[in-house]
Amino acid sequence: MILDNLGTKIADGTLGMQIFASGLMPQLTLLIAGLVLVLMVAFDARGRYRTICKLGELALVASSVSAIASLYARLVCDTSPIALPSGIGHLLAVTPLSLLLNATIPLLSLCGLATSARWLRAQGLAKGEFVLLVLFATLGMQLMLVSNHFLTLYLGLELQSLSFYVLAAFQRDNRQSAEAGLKYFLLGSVASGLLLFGIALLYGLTGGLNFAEIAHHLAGKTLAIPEQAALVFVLAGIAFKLAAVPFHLWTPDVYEGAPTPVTMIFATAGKLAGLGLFILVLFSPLYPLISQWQPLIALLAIASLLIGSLGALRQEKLKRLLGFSAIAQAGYMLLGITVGVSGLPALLLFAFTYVVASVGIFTILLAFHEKAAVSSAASTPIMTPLSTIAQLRGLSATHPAWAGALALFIVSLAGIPPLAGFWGKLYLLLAVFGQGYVLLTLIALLATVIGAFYYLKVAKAAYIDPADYSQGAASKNKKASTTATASPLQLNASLAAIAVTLLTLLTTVALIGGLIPLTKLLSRVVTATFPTI
Amino acid sequence: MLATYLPILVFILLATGLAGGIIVASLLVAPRAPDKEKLSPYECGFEPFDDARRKFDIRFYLVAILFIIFDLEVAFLFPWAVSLNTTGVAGLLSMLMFLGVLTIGFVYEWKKGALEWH
Repeated sequence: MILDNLGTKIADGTLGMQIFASGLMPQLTLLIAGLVLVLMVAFDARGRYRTICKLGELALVASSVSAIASLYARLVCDTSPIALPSGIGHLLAVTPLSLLLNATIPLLSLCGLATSARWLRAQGLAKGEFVLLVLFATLGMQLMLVSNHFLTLYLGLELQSLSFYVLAAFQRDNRQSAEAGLKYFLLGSVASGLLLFGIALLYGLTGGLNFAEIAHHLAGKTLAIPEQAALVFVLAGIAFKLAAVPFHLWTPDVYEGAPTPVTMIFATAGKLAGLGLFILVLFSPLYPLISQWQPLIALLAIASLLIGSLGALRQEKLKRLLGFSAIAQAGYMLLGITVGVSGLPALLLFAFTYVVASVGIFTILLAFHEKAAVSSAASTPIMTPLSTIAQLRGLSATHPAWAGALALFIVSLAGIPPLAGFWGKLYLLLAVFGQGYVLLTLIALLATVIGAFYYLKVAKAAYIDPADYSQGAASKNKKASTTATASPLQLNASLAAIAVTLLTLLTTVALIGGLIPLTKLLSRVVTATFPTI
Repeated sequence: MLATYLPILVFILLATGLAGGIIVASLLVAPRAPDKEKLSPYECGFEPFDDARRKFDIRFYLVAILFIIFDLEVAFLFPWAVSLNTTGVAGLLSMLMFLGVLTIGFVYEWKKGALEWH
């Protein structure tokens, strides 16, 4: 027990060891850092955004590092996890999968935070609260993923969602941002209500909220309408968070209206957390209902794939396009879940390639966002952010390196060989096909073909379409302002470079056949997480 | 059996006596100079009978939200206090942690001026 002999344990340092071994360090780091930063923001009259931002970034890195250390200790050193005290163990369970996701999510939030600093200052929005909201959203996602009880799950989910609502509306003078925040809040609250209703039904049916208890009770039951109703309500609630059709309507509007760094966090960290939520709920408490949820998830997957891909075709705005692309990607992720536990390693691989490419694209969008922002700040206060595909025209002539990186990410997202995105999709579809879901595989292939069209449209704008007159004027402005934006560009450039490196690394690993050991490692994570399945 | 309810009876008598005593005392002792404003029903500074769809100060909203947080906190304290003999040190520490987090939030809202009307 952690609480026994507290005094001596603090004195000889075993308390620290025990807390580390419990695997809850990532969450504790963020919690303590978040609380300290709240006080700092409260007493900070002069608006030292830079200091607060740096400290927040430090906390996110520390959280990620401690998750990686715990994962390493579990998987490589094979240390058996310390049993949490029964009161806490009833509510939280640290699994290797949760550690893996909890190591990645803070880094994604970090990317959003790091790329946002200059843009926020240009907007006059550089307030410490932005950092706090990002930290607490990350804490919520992490808490949700280590939950072992529906109450902790709901608590984490709401911490994440409420922070996200405010972040979406952070640029509150901007109509679109305010609208995005309100829309997200209203629809998100309804989804949370549905989830809560499903949880209440489950409680009524099983008499427990702990995942193991619920699974135990559901396993022995003949399934009737109440169980199915509970399943449908829970599914509706979590499908909203992953932006799966038919709970996707908020996605394009919120992605477009929210400030771009915030959209980046939604599309990467939020997406990964939503995926983790799906895996956690479906493979832990609701696993006995697998025969019931498999067809439902397959249906959601097909609908998401088709509507996401078809909806993206006609989009002219980049962030809207990425919103529809996020819906389609949710479809691929749900395909991996349909297959069952054997599809999870491929699914995780796919999710990571998606996340790397997304971070890259948003970093590039933000780099030009900022450039335009600073150049226009001198003449007019109105921002001219990079928002439509047409604005990318001629990018390869003015900024060949940026255009090259953008093309790389786009092509990887589209799933064109030999890039990492292709291999992620290939493994995923092989897993689906291997389980005999031929129709699902065919629909996914169709969606990939449609997807290639709209992804490549972006690359075409950057490479083939000639720069028009207005873009020429804008690029002159950009040249004039290069010195003013040296630091964010460097930051974005290095982030983009990291993403390119990661993508190339994954591609190389895939080409020399190294993905098979990687998938094996991931399947070790999955089997260690769900040992009974 | 019935004798165990005696304290409640005593409590009811005391409460009625005290409340009644105060009302009677204010009837007897207090000075009275009624006018139209004083006799009209009072409701948070609004006209009590009026169209409900009218603008009112957004700061009411802030005060209400901040009030709810601390109201709920107190609602939490009652079951916690009653069950403290079973929850023990862990219960005490949990509540201290909860109150600590709330206090930090309170410091934040205070320093940010959310409690000032102007």
